[in-house]
Amino acid sequence: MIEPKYVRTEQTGETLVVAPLFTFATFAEADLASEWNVVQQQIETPAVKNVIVDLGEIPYFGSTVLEWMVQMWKRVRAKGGKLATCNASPIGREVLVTARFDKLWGVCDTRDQAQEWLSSTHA
Amino acid sequence: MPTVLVVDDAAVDRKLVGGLLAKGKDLTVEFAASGDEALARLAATGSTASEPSVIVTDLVMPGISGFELVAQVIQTYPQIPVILMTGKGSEEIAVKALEAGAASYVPKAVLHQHLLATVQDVLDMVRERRSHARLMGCLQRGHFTFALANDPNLIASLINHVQSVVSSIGLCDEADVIRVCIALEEAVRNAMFHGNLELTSEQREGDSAEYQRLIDDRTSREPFASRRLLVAVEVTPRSGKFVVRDQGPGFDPTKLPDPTDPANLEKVSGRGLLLMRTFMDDVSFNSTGNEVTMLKRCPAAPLEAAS
Repeated sequence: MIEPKYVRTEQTGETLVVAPLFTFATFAEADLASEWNVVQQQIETPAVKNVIVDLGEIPYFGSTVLEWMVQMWKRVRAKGGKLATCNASPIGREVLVTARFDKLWGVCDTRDQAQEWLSSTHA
Repeated sequence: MPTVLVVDDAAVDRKLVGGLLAKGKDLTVEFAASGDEALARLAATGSTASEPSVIVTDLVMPGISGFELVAQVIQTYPQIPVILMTGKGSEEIAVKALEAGAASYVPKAVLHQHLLATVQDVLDMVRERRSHARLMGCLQRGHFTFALANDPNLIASLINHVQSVVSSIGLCDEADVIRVCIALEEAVRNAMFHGNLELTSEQREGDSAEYQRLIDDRTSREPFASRRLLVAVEVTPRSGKFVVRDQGPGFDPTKLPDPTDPANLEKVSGRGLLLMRTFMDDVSFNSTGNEVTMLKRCPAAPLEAAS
């Protein structure tokens, strides 16, 4: 099995944890698109209800990761699920808040907190 | 005199490695019997002259492994390279350690032949890197212009270069350097994809494989293929000016939806300009909308410095 270079996923129960591994310093559009397609397919499987985006592997990110998150959020919402982010760096959190994404989903400090947020009754 | 810190839980191996390194000219060799002891030693010396120049560590140790030591040293002491000594069967972990940032590795079976030469090579690299850092610390003005083809793979190299120059010249702290680079990346991506290749946000929001096919098609087809992206950077310790110009038809930035408006919050794209405006001190477009100028001022500099 080929190790993913740009995004790693793991499933815990009905939650898919998605960890982007790239910043603008490590980037190849075509390969990125290919791995992103795989993630989208995983989200579409019946076993996945919620998504946690773990940002702990990257110190910063731009609009590509933001766009991914909105797309994932829309997909899980359409299935009645929720999305939460966790482990963002201070700049990462600043980007999320600047883009007002804290209004759309849970912005949590840790993966455990994200899991708790998903289990709670937040919209 | 460079100091090599040897980390190995086996006393006999420490003695062997110490003996091999003692043959090197002008090398001081110190020892730690575990990863924890090595980290304590690093914490005690801080970034001082007594800090080791290079660490040579066993891969498999009780407690903190060589791999974990690499990760912690990379994070806390990125200036100190780590060389791994690997046993038979640990090649896969060694590859992972190299990917995580280890400088090199030497199989234990060939320590006699290769360890000293590897340490000397890595020390040469450290000297060169430090010398380059000192040189860049003397930089007073960086001024360069790139005319890029529409190759997305160039973006990372460009941003890395700008990051290095802005960081070296001391325009702002490291967090602000990253903010500058995020803003510049957004400007370059906008200019390349929306400007030169005339790809729309709606196309981007659709199937990503189809979007990639569109990029491939347009980068090889006129009128898109021959369009160039001009990126001009002028940076001093007081201010930075970043101009990105494409050769597309331009756009009216005032007609872009505000992505923070609750009505637009769920739209996939449209946040690039928001990040640019948030992370730069000033962002302006020319009248046709195909050139953006972004300014970043040193927090301590007077306002007129960036004009």
